[in-house]
Amino acid sequence: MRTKFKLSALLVTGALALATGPAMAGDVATELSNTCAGCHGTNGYSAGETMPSIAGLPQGYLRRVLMEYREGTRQSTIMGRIMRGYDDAQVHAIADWFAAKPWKAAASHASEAQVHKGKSLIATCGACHVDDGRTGNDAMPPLAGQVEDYLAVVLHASQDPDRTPPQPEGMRLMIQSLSHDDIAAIAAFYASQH
Amino acid sequence: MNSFNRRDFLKLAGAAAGVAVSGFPAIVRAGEKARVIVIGGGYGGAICAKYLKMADPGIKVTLIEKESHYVSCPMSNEVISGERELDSITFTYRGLSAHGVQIMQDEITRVDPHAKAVWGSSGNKYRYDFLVVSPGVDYKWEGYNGFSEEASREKMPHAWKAGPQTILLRDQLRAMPDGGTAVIVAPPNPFRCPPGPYERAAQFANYLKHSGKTRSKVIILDQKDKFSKQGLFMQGWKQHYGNMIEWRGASGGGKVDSIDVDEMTIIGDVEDVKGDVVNVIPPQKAGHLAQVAGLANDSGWCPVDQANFESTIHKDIYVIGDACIAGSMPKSGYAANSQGKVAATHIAARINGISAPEPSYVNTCYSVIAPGHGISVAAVYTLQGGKISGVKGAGGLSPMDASAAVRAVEEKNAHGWFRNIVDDMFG
Repeated sequence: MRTKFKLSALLVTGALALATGPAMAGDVATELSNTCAGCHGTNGYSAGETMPSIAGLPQGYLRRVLMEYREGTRQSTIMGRIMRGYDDAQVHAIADWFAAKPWKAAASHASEAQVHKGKSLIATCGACHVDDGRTGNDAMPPLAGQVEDYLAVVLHASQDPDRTPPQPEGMRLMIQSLSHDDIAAIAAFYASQH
Repeated sequence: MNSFNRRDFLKLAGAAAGVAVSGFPAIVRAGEKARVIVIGGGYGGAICAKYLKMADPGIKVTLIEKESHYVSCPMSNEVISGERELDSITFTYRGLSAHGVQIMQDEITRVDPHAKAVWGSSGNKYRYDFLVVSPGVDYKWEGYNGFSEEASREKMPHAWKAGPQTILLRDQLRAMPDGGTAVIVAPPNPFRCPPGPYERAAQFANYLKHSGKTRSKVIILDQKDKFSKQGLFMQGWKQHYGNMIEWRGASGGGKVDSIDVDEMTIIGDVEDVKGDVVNVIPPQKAGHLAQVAGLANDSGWCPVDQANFESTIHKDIYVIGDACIAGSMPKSGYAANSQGKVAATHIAARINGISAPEPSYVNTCYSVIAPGHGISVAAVYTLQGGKISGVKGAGGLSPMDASAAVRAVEEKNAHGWFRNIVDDMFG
């Protein structure tokens, strides 16, 4: 968006008269995606609490998750209601716009003790969430640097065996036995990783 | 943007240097880009200023605001109940300065749409190419017989703009003895923050319950017969506060005939209600500056082009937030945020001589009924036949049958919403 406006200004100051009307259309993806920032932070970088950072998540993951919200196959409090306002092309435009941003770790205020405890609990998580959650792909989001309270909310919700979509069976079984404090510590650990 | 890359554009621009411009609608002065002045640094204006700079850092953006700090209305009901302090909802404009927005503390008293200039009480004159006005609401003091601005200053605070009024109302509630009655007069439509009076009733009750004043009553005298998130509020009130909160709709005894300020009494059509605390929220209209600038119509609110928020009365002036008439959108903080971005994109596009994208708008609004109990309403809007209309099948309310766990997550999300929307404005 920024580049485009600069270029367009160049056209004008360079006195280019290729057209008599508006030279090009504005950026639809930015217009759509700006509406998300009120909850997810400017450009999708969350300022915290339970709102996840969405900038820099893998493109395929974002596309799939937003579609699942819209179709009602992914449980949510509010995201389903919002995503039903967009058609396929718009959902993809929004997902692609955020996916194209670089990932940046959210600010973490986790205590050292919490992080230490969390580290002792994630041995099994690491079988899939390799490199302390730094790696994400279309099937699986990165965890390192994600907002702590969001990670905790998702882990709590995932303990529900009826949650849709179901977690991979191994993960669901593993997190069943986690206490409230365990979940807080695991969330603190991943949130603190950069 | 699609068929050209950056290098192609640069080449074209270079090759064309010196060719005469004819009919190109861009606004460019020698050596500098257009100047945009934004008046009002709240949920609409602050966002619009920041997103203008994000769209095009070359635009000169000045935000003029009469206060040095901003106090948020969203979450101010939690200050009244003691769940948070005023500091936690108070913000500076330093973050906007860092984005290159020039901040001027001044109160604009005059707008001349023909001279394209505004004047402040400081004596300063500010010229603009485009003006954005985000003045919030003003009160129709004459809306209730016997009531006045003076009455609101000490005896019957409105607390509908956060700050000293919020603290006054909080302190009055704290001073109320057990068994007392707190009255909220809820205004007629349209008004700022449709669920606000009902969240406030819940936060009154939250304070009264936790301070052991459980024999007290909260009575809402409403000037209308239904209200935002009504079923969810009534369910939540009952669940957490039993019969402490009583709502009387306009035709069920809520209608205010007049107000006896000295006697702390609301004179109603059916009966009179005396309160130990009386929170009178007056009927509303577009903020003072909109009236002064001639931007409002007979309704008291500002008609705007629904695609971009340019005034239909004065060209090159945009009105956003609570003051404007925006189709199906409510007068909410998130709506103002969304409108500020649409206007910013449109203005930046005009300045650069390109067409703005199809507008897209969202509203998301949370209310906190009790610690661990949040509810929400959301909508996605598009331009349909020239009107801002909700997309069918999208949006709506939190479900009535949600579990306690879901209500708890929504309460956390209410606070996450707040953290992020103020960061979007001031971060």
